[in-house]
Amino acid sequence: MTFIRFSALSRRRLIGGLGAAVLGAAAPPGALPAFAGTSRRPSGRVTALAFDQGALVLAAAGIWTSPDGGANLLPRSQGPGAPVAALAAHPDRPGMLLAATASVGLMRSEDGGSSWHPAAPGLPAAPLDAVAIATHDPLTLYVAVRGDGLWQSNDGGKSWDFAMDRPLVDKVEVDVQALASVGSLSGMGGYWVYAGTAKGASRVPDCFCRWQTLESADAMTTGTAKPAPVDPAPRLPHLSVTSLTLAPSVPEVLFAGLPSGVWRTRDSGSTWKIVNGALTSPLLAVDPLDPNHVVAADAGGTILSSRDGGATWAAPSAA
Amino acid sequence: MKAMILVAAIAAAPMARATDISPETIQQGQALYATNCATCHGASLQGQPDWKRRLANGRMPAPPHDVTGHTWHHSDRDLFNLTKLGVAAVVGDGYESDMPGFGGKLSDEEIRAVLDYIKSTWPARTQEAQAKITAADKAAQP
Repeated sequence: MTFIRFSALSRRRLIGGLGAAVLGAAAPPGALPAFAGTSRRPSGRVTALAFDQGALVLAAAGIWTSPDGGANLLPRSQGPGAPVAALAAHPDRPGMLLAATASVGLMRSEDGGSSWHPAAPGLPAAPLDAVAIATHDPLTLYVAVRGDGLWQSNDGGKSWDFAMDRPLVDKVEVDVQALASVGSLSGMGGYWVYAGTAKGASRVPDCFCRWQTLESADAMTTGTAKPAPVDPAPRLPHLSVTSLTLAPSVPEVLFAGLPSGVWRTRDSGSTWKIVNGALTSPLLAVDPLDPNHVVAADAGGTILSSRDGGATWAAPSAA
Repeated sequence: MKAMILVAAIAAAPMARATDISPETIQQGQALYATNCATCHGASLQGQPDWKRRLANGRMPAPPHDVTGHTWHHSDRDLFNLTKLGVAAVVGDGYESDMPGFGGKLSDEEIRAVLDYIKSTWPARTQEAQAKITAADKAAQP
């Protein structure tokens, strides 16, 4: 495994040591049956949200799951041993969850969040802010390392390579704080990786040549169908995007969490519309089995659900 | 938008697969590459060191043109335009790059020869993948 060199920029001095050293100090793996219990409200700040097949998974002082889209939350485990910044799941791998953590690297669960194990020896020992699993290949993983950039694994996390520096916004690199693999053809022999930052969203083809704006239709996005120009086009604000999510089966429809609420695009990011303003910087998840089922949660644990692709929202209720 | 119009105005003649190119053309391209490109992209097409990380000026280093880079993910049209016009002109939107346009220095045929040489160094599988990207690009053009 090749590790990055830290001398070039001061930001890289934040990163040191071997990822394995930190990962080795992770919380002991194993299910925690005593933690499991009846439905109740999570204590602590909600930090991550994902759908594992049809089950909602929530990180907040432990891992919680809900079989009914958030109506009933069941404590699953004490979690991976550190605050979870992001969760990722893949519809082809039910039960597998990846957790990007602040201090124990990338953690993996193969049992829906009951037990957790180090998943990424070789990553820099720095906080991980986001994780995504490629929609076209569950062995391809992407992780955002704070102060550093995007790392990629093509073997399910056994080995990692630095893939791309961070997006440049107003001539300053910004951290990636949300990641989504988008299965639309990039025109460069692959697909897209979308990223949320403190200053809007960006995207890069998975050959990692260049970060681009979501609205770009430049010469290097060839081969993709572009939406008809809208003028004036409703753009995604250049504000903090803390969540980006989609159902793999509908890659042109994405949801983004911003301070102003839930935003939705139906054209891969060219144009956006705010569809719910009730929650501040919501975490978002789309049910891969039902692309119209969208769940939003704020840090305080308030959960809203949409069953019509974001048009209307309500507190989740058991079916 | 300006860059887009500029790019669209250029008739990017189709480039053949490297296996269809004469040895003389590849030899010519190799010589031109050594003179015009190797300083940044490396004599062995290896790119600048640590090429995935920005330079201090915020620009990206010159990437490899061998199979470890992303050159082969670009269509023939993109490669031609990037070389002739430079990255900043093609991308637009104020994007900054150290890659200049070589249109004032190399003829279109010479640019194609350089690209043919680069492509000739790729494994057959990579050449095929790049040919598919080119075909998709052509199909998408109006």
